[in-house]
Amino acid sequence: MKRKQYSIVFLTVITALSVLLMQPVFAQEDDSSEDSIIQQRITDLKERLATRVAELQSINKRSFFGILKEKTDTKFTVTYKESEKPIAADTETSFYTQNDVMKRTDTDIDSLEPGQSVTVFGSLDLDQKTIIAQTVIAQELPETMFGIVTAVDNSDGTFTVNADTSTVFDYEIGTTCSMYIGKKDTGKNLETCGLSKMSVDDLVIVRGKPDSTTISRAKALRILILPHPEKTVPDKQ
Amino acid sequence: MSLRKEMAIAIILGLLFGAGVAFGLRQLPGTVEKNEPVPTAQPDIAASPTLLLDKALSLEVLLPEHQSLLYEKEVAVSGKTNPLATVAVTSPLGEAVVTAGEDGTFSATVPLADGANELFVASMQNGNTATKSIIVNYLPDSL
Repeated sequence: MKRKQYSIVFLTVITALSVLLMQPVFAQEDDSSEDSIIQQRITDLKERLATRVAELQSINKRSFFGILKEKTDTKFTVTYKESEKPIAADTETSFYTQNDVMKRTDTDIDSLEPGQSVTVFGSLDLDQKTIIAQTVIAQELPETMFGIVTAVDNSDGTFTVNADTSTVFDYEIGTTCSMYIGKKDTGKNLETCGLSKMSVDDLVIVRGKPDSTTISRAKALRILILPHPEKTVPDKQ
Repeated sequence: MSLRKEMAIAIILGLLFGAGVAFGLRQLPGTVEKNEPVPTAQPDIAASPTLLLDKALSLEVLLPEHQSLLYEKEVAVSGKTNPLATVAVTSPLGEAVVTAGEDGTFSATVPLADGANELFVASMQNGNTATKSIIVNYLPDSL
């Protein structure tokens, strides 16, 4: 009987001790789960903040093409027709010069001259006016002319287009020419052509690079030959 | 004949001659105008065919916006013009010609060059033309 009582007392003591000893462990587990919840919340907040910052940066992204007007070491102004944009540059800004065949070379702000054409990529400053430039490309755009062919000289490799003014274009090896041929079964309505396909009275859109020495003369880069407006008939679709 | 009589005759003859010269000079400009050379068939730049842009033909480029920043290598240019007009869209790297729908809307895709691109749009119909030009800026991944 006594043995049985000892056993009960022993088991009671063991149970009590176990409960007492295990309490801190359970408490620790509770703490760690709370910590992990807080940590998870912080991570979520960080992610949401990063997403929002990225959204705002995306909204504030801007680009602007125009003529460089005024320049200091860190600021310059670019104008396009009536629009004018103040631009800020810093040590993070990259400057490039791009030629006609899109080959880029590194340059710096000192190399840029007023009167040069530039394209600025960056983001809006807090004033919502100034673009903080990340990338600046100095590039000359070809001129576009929409007019009627008044002369074609196959032997000389030139053709003349009359729009607001009359311009003589040099047709060179690199010149790309396309001709509108109307809707065909193939689905293509443009055909590759050459100077021999061009005739007087053709309506053309020509992109060309003006000759630096001769006025009213340019190098033809791309040509699109269209039907003369008086002959324009809509495609049958 | 007395000297006085000779002087009188000389004065009268002088007056008559002077009047004749004056009359002749007065008639001269009219004679010159009448003898204008007849225009010949020489080449005349001003008389050569000129494309007349007709304001009766409407053209509106709706997308992309002027000076917009683009990240794709090609762009769909859409807008509105006269129903069934022929619309040409050109970029520095390509061209596309489409026909506007019954409602006048059109859309054409052209490739873009790195940096700034002038997109030129021309609408043509029954001898009329209308044009629009916008700038878009393509930022390639490499920048």
